[in-house]
Amino acid sequence: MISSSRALFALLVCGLFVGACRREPAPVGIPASVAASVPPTRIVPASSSAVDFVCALVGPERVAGVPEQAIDYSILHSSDQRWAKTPRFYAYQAEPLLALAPDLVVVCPYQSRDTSERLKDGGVALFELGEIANWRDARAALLAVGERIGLKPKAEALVADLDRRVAALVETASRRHAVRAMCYSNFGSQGWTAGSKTTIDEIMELAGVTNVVAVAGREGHQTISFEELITLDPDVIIVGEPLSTPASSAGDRGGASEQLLMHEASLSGLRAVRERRILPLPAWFFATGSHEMVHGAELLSTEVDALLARTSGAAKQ
Amino acid sequence: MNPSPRRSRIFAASFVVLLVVLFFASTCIGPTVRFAPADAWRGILAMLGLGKPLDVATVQTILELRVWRALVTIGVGASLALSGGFIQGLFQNGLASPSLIGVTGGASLGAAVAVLIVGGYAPRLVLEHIDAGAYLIPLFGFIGAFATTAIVVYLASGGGRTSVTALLLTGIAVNMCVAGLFAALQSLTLANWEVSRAILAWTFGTLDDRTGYHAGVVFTGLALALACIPFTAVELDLLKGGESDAAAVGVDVARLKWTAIFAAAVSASAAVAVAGQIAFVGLVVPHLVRLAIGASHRVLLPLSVLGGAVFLLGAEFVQRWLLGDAALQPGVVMSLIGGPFFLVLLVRERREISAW
Repeated sequence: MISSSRALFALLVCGLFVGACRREPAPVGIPASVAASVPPTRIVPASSSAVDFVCALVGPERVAGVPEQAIDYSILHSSDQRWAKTPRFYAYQAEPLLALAPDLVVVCPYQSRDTSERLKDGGVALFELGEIANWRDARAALLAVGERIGLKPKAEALVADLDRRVAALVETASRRHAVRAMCYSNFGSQGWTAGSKTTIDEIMELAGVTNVVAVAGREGHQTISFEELITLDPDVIIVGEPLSTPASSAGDRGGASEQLLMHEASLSGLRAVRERRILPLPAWFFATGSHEMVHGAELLSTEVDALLARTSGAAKQ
Repeated sequence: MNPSPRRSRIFAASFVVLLVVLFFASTCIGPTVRFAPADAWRGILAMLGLGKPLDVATVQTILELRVWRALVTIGVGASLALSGGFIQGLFQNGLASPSLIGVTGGASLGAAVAVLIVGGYAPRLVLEHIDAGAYLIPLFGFIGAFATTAIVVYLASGGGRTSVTALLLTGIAVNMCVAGLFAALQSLTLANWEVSRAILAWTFGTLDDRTGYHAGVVFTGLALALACIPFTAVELDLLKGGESDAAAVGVDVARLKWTAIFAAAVSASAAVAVAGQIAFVGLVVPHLVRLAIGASHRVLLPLSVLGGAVFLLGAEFVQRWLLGDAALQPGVVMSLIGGPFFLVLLVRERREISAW
């Protein structure tokens, strides 16, 4: 009898507790329909890709804050001083974001659902980007962001320019088809590369370069052993840029991957090592998930062309 | 229980035969080409300078990578098992393992610092002069492991005596501190995805891309620990009756503890430094060997060396054979095997444990 009354009491307490904790919908200042029609003026792009899309369309006056990591992995890596005073936040968490008083937060699908819910509770409008696996996805996302922030014509103009650049890449791509490339990163613990269904693979495809890892049937970012590297034996290996190059920022800042490739005895037989076809590119190149992949493809094609010209010139001599 | 010499010899011979077979099989099967046994043998002879290399230079290099991988796997398995044998003997507990004295945590911290240096967080002057991170991680891993063990032993020792209970509790506390520092490094580098991925990957353990340098590190640690066996094996047996009884029959208990801790620390540190975190080998192997041949350390320790090598090389070979490209990292495999094994041990020894 005692135990059942205790159980009843416990149930009552739990019920009261749950009732007290139940979330009341936060008062929303602007009705959703109105909010959608008024262009946002305090936008927070919450990921590097979102920063690429938003900052390509608006200036710092309409951006309330950017994530810290975006400085290295987004369009801001090479931006001028205009963005220097834009507030930064370290992680996608509700409190620091709400403190920026945004009226629109642009998020990626992989970002925390809990945080998104808390932001919605706080009355913040959210715009979720779709999955971006290739140039077509990025193109669609740029147009969607443009429409959402009231800059559809600007987004369309930007897309038209990107389409022209992609067409120019496609025109010259055939001369690079024979180049078998792969990206590689190794800080001493394990080697990593990227197969199909990665933005690096898409960049290689846009540049007309063959990604040997994707051709080997591997998907996503994967570990790769020396043995597999030797078997694939690419013509060009793309690594992170070392610190001494001004454009480099995060990622392989010490140029460790290049150093390892050049000094590891068992890799000395690799064609790319023998012919010094190790191509260092900036950190953002490896992580871009936006229309910036066109910029990446242009950079890659230029570097590959220069590398081929250099090596063929050396061969003639 | 004194083991029957015949039984021990049969086990030792079986382990040696298995080890040779597994070593050879491991050089034949890998993620890319499959070697015919004759080709593998020719390649090994060429590696030793006793024959002509395989026709294609690349193929010879691949075979040599597999030989180093197999050798490092043998060294790591043997070292971890020997370390576990020493620790279980010292703690007089079959559930003890090298991680108790901070080896694993310390090595992880050291390796994480090395990854940070290689990954670009060191001053520019250092970065421009680093030739290869592959050398820095084992070095820092070893320093981290050995330094952490030294801190545990120093803090657990009072008035010239090192109590096993104090060692256990200090080990837990120091492990917590080290784990906190490791987590802090991981947290601080979250924004740099390449560095955080490298740190995380190290915690799964790896036996890929090992070279002569790695083999040199792990076999040096193993040799130093093996050299301690003649000075500790009989004494560890005598310790079973308690420290006072052991001292009464002439055992220098303090010297025994220092030697056993040194042997356990140096072998496990070297293993973890070259291969990352590979748990449970140090727990499972000495325990199984004890069940098979008894608890005499004169036989248990050397057989743990062989058993550890067979266990890790065998597990690696079987999963690479069955799973191919989808093979898991060794630390993950050992945890999948070791976790349930540890649970079975706990259930089997419930009565004894409840008396602690």
